[in-house]
Amino acid sequence: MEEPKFELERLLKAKRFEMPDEAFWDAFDARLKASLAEEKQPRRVSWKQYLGAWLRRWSPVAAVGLFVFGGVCHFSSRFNAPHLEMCFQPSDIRSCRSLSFHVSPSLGVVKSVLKKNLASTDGDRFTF
Amino acid sequence: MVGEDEAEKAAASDAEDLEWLERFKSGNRRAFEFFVKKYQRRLFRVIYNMTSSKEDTADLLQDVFLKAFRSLETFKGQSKFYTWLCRIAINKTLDFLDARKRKPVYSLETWGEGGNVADFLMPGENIPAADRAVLLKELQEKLNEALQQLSHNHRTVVVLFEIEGMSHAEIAKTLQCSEGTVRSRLHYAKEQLKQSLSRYLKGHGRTEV
Repeated sequence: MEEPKFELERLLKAKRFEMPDEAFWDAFDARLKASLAEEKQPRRVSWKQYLGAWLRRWSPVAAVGLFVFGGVCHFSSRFNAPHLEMCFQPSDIRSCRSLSFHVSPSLGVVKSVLKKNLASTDGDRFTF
Repeated sequence: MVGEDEAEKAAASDAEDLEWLERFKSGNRRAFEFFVKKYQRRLFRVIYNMTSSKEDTADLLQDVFLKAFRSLETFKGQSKFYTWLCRIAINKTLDFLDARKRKPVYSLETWGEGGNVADFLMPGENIPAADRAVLLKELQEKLNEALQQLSHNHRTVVVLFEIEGMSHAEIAKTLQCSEGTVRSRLHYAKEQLKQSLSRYLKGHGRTEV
């Protein structure tokens, strides 16, 4: 038997006949309606979801910020040690103590500076 | 006259789209269902002929309509509504095809039980029904394979021009490229298809007895 031959354009146009049955469209419509109904509803977000999303978004930035801040404090306390020492004169210790804890996370440096100063005071002891 | 009729129909269809668009923008969200009903089959054809997978097409078509629903407020009417919708479909499908690593699985849709398409392809041919069905299935497979061998850009142009029946200008607008690019892609793609399908084409290959 001789096979029939076709025009390419006609073959391609025949692909218009490829269409799924009605069951496919029924399922498709139902699924799309459900998705659209969800879209139409304003989304309710609980505070936990909101906080979680906020943390996920900003925690890397906060971590980098803390790291940079810690680094700056650490190096500034190293290079400005004489200045700090001057600040922590025995008479200023009470007023500076809380501030120093807040400002510098590198407590080791602060402690050593304070101890050095306190060693020269009379009976005024601080514990860490 | 036929051309005038078609132009009138197209104009009426565009006016209808704009009317429903106004309804949607004035708060009637259910107006969107009109667009779904009107265009889902056309878009199915576009996406399906680019992916050759019914399941992937269903997922992509859902995504296309959801995206259209979300951004319909921003549609300014600078292009035809279908051009805009088709652009969303093409972009989604191309993204999907670029990301698809696995080999495409062909999930062929039936050609209307072979009835309509056989009349379309072989009018007046006296071929027994069983042979006709075998030939149609084989043709369908080879055609899909040949289409899948084309690059994404070439396949897109072939699907929009030859299967969807869009004009060069409409395709250029949809793909945001020049008409010259559309013509050259189409020419190249058809040459490739002719090579792949030479056995079945008039004036190509040998006749098997």
